Amino acid sequence: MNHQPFEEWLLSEKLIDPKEKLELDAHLRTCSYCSALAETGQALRVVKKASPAAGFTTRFHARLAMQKAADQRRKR
Amino acid sequence: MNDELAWVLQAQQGNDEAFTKLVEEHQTHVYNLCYRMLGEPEAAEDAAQETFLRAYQNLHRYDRSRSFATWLLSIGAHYCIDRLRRRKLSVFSIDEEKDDGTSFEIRDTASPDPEAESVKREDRDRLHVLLKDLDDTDRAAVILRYWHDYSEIEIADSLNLTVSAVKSRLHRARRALAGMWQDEKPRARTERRKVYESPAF
Repeated sequence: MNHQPFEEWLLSEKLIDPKEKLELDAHLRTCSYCSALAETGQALRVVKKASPAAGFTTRFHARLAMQKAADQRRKR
Repeated sequence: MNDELAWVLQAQQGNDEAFTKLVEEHQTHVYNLCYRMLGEPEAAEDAAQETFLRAYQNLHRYDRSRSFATWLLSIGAHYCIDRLRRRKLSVFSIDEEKDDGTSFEIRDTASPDPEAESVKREDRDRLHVLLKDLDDTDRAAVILRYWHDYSEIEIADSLNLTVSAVKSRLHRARRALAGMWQDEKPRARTERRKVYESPAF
């Protein structure tokens, strides 16, 4: 199956006009690869950031203190 | 951001409290990058902590004409890529036999449309797992592009690549993700195709 120009449109996130949209929709109905490309593109657009567990800064303080202590020991 | 610039200046002069403010400000950005790169929360926590430690130790090398966030994520990306290369094995500690469904702490916020949100969340979870099979640097480019809204120029700067190499890696990664998505067990494909038939460009 020929995926062009549809694969290129999906990869480049090209702004498409209504005529191109009809062509793309028709292609997606028959092409599972381009459908997967569109679906993963959609999923990538709604990703959310993961946050660390509460207390990250406190844990960093502890790590920094340990590192400084280790650096001091090495200097002796 | 004026406050941030002040914190950076003070931190560079040895003010640890100012550096703490920078950690507070950027912890989610750094943690998210590490989590998406390494796949599980414990490794991500360790890598994120190490990223801030390295930033602290190298503050004298930070060029203030550059975005502090970009500099931080660059340190994080390189650290994670190095860590992955040193391990040289599947970086996700979960495989299908051991997966008890509790290891990925993917945090999400409430939504007014629970059904649409549960589909989106499912897709996000699937995507997170598929990241592991990407090339390490390709994965970093994808994370910076989609989770952190970096431009291709910013990604190139962070990962020491040319812009055309970034474009090429992003396209390769997108194709790989699509291939893996396609190969997975189909689930209500007709329904999902309806949702994605007319991508909003």
